[in-house]
Amino acid sequence: MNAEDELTAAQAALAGEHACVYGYGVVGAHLSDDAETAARALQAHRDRRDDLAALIRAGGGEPEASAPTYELPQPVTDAASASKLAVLMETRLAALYADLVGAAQSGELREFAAQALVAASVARGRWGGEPVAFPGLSGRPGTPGTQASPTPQTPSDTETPESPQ
Amino acid sequence: MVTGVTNTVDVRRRRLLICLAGLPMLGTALAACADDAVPKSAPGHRLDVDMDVKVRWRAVEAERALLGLYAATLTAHPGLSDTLAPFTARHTEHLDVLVEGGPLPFSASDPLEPPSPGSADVPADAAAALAAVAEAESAAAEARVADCLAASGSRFAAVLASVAACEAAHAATLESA
Repeated sequence: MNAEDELTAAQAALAGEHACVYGYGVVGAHLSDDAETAARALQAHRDRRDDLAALIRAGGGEPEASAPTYELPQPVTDAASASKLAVLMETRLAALYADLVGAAQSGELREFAAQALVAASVARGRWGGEPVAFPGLSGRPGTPGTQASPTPQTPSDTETPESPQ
Repeated sequence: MVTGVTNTVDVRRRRLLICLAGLPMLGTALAACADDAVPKSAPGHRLDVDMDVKVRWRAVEAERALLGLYAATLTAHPGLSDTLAPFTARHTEHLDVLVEGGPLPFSASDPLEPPSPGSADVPADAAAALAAVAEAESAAAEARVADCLAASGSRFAAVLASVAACEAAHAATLESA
């Protein structure tokens, strides 16, 4: 691991936070009972996004901006699909932070990443995700074609959403 | 006895059962085997691995203590077995990975001594017993984050952070149960 790996992992985690901020906006819009929980989650991700951007800047990097819009990995039409998206986002984010724990060169960044990994795991459970033994390390949806968080949208890969059950 | 160790799940599970009784001895034997196996603890840096022996041992002891608490809780409240079985299974996975991931020191304690199941004070009320387990999980999660910061190996640090994340989710799940 070197400074370049560290910056790459930090930027990837930041991109994940950008995606979560977008995604929780969508999640919140489909929740009536848990709207407050979604609003708190949204704020938590905004805070972490800003903290991580500051850490990247402090390390001499230029934090990447968010994408103008994101493609959802699955259509969100109701409370159930909204919760499912939240679980997927936190699962994916946990993997990014596990990578950052390993790549961090400073104790400060490693601690930030470890706490963020813990937070993602707890949040995942709050949205109904079954606990796993190694959050972020096993069953990570990082293989191509199984993106679990909103991905920056390009016009060519827009698909027709499946109709809700 | 540990020659011919393979990576099949059955063997790993069986070995784990042995580990509960004779962990330090077996850990040393596995460490010898691990030299030319895939280094899961830290990529490349032998020195880092050596420096992490104490941290690893602390995490292993904590996992054994948690498993002991779960065992004691289940002895006192057999009705919780369905609820708690997945939790103990995940801790068994933690212990498995921590033990296999690198060397462990010789311990001053009797290596054949089991991880004191049944010695923990378990509240007579089932809800209070669950709350006590949740509290222990929460404390373990905090300790693993601290261990993560103390670890030298980057891969090992990630494993410790992940264990902490699992335990924090355990605590939250048990608190809301």
